[in-house]
Amino acid sequence: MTSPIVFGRIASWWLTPMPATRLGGVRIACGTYALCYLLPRCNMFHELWRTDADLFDPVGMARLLPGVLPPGIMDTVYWLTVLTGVFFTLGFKHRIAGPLFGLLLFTLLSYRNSWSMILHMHNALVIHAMILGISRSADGWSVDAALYRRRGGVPPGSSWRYGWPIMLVGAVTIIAYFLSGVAKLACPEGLDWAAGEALRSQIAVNAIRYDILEGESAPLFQTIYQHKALFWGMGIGTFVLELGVPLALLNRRLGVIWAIMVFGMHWGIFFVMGIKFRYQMSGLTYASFFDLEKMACPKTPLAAALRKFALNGKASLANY
Amino acid sequence: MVREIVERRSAITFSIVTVALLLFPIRHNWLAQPKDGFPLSYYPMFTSTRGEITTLHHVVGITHNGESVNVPGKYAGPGGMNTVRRQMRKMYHGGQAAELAKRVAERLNGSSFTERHKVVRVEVVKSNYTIKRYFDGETGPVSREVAASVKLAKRPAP
Repeated sequence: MTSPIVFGRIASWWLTPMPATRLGGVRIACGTYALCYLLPRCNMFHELWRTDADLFDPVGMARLLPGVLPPGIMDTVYWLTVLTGVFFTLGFKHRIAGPLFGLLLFTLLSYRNSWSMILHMHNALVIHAMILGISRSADGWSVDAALYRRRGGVPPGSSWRYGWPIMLVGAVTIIAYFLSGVAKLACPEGLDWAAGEALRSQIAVNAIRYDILEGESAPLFQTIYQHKALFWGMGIGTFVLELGVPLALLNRRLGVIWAIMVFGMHWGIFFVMGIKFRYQMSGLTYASFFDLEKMACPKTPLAAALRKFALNGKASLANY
Repeated sequence: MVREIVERRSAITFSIVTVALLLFPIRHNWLAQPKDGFPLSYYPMFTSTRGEITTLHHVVGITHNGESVNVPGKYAGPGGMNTVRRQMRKMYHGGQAAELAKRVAERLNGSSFTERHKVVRVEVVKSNYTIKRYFDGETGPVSREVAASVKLAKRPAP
């Protein structure tokens, strides 16, 4: 008897109604990051799959391939990903462009990682894009929604249909950190990892690599290397943020606090280690933890007038 | 009404399957030979044990007067630092060190790096560094093995 009640409560929590615009905001955040990552790296992608085929070690979607593809095919995949990425971000023809973008991004980044190593910063990006691509994330803040309104359609309000994808995108983000925490706990150091010595030596090795291969190491590392207590603090802090992360999904306010802290952690990693977790450092990966529709529409008279203008398409700003 | 129930159940089922798939790689933490994946990973970053000595496969330039300078990874291949580092290690161990040296030498020919450092030859090397020594200011390797060496076609004026 208890099980159905518990399951019902979990289901209604997971299917909490949320505004279409919030999900639309999460879609825009994901798409914007993907385009900002892909476009400036056009030449890098182009060169990468023209390097020695012996370096190809397939991961993800690339494991389904018979081997290295002709570079021209991958160039096409790259440009199709960019094109569908633009449609995805704008929320235009989402029923087709959304799933297609998720699939193409998965293919492209799998292939990219197959030439080097798994860049963990993009695991969440790919899964976010696939979830947002197949969900109704273009019902708000999109070209599709604007065209629908123009044809006389009523803008959708809050619904569980917009709630569960936001919850799931948040869960994807959270699980990555949780698994990362478990991996540290399961490594030979175990709980001692929190003492900071393992982290310190990891960062030191990384700093040497950057120094030798890029001619520069992280700005702060040279300064803090001698201060072991700082690494102890970083070790404890990392464990708390990674293993305590499930709480961020259970309580929305805790989720916001966690997102801000972990965003700061990634910038800290950059300053100390020089490692750029770009999706995380952009902050866009944490969009699902925030009430984006409220952030985008603060309650100022000008914002209210603009919102009215945007919704009605005819109201003037004269009253402002 | 029926359609909404079906949709709700589909959303929950899809969510459960996704979460289960994401958690599935956790088992690799306890496998004898764990393997990371994409995009389903067990996130083993910062978990491998580091000793006092770290090894790096890279390329150095040899100057007119015999000194060695570290050649930036961008001359070895495309991608970020870790991408290039992995590629160099693979090539070193895959018997392609000579090919790597040749590629870097071609890219260094006439480059500003070559002019600035007066590089006349490149070497693909495996260097061992002691962490403590390195951060005490002695940034040279404690030992180094040369796998391949190629002279630059266009040598800078001494």
